[in-house]
Amino acid sequence: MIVVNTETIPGREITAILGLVQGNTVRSKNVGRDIAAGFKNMVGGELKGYTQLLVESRRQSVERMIAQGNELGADAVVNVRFTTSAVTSGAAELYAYGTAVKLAAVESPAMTEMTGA
Amino acid sequence: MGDLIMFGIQIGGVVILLGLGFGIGGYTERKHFKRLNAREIECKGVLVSTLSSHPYADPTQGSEMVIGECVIATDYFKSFVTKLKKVIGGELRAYLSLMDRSRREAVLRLVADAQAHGYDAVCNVRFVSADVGGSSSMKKGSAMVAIIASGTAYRRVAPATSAS
Repeated sequence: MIVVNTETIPGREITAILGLVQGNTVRSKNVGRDIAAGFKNMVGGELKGYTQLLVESRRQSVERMIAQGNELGADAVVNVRFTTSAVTSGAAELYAYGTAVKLAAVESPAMTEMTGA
Repeated sequence: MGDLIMFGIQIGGVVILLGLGFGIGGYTERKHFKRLNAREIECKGVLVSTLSSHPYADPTQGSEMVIGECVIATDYFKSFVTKLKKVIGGELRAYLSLMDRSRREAVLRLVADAQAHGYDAVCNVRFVSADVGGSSSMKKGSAMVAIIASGTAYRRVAPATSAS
């Protein structure tokens, strides 16, 4: 599964658009991270626990999006976007969405030159 | 008298926090900016753009989405100064550097992700500011900013044909 956030994939041709696929996750930070972040808030600097949380949520939501793409029989998900929203205090939603597409079979570079694509 | 002592302790606590914020916060920020500058020079070889086409793309090498995240908190001194500044309004310079730092850090992580997968260009870079802690994190008065930068990594054709 190819996942890109551009509309096209270099060297590949999109043959069919299968529709919107999406994945989301709502995560809450835990108490341990909260305390550590509270201390960090005094002196400033990166909140590594929260960065980790963000990485995990993003991976989860992208995974769910890809799973939906697989269900549709997609070869790739293009034009992927992220958005977040605060659901309730202490929890945040991370939402990933994109367009599932079917791709033409891989052409050899020589073929691409001949067809002028 | 008891009230006065309590008041004194409270003021003392605030002063200590302000000192910590100013000292350690300022030091880590300067260090971070230095590191950002150095790493940005190291990453000069990677073409980063917001174009949705793939400039100078090598169509045989494929492409992949790369992402960089960063959460940075401000320090106590800066949030205190900002609270005062909010009374008169205007530009909040103390938070400007906070946004700058986390965006640049996120882009650098995105570029590092691309390099780790063997790509040498990233296009269509987008920023989303996430709300990790939910709205509660803002109530405590200490701001933090979470940035997700996403882009599409790909390989460029040999530099002989590209104008970069």
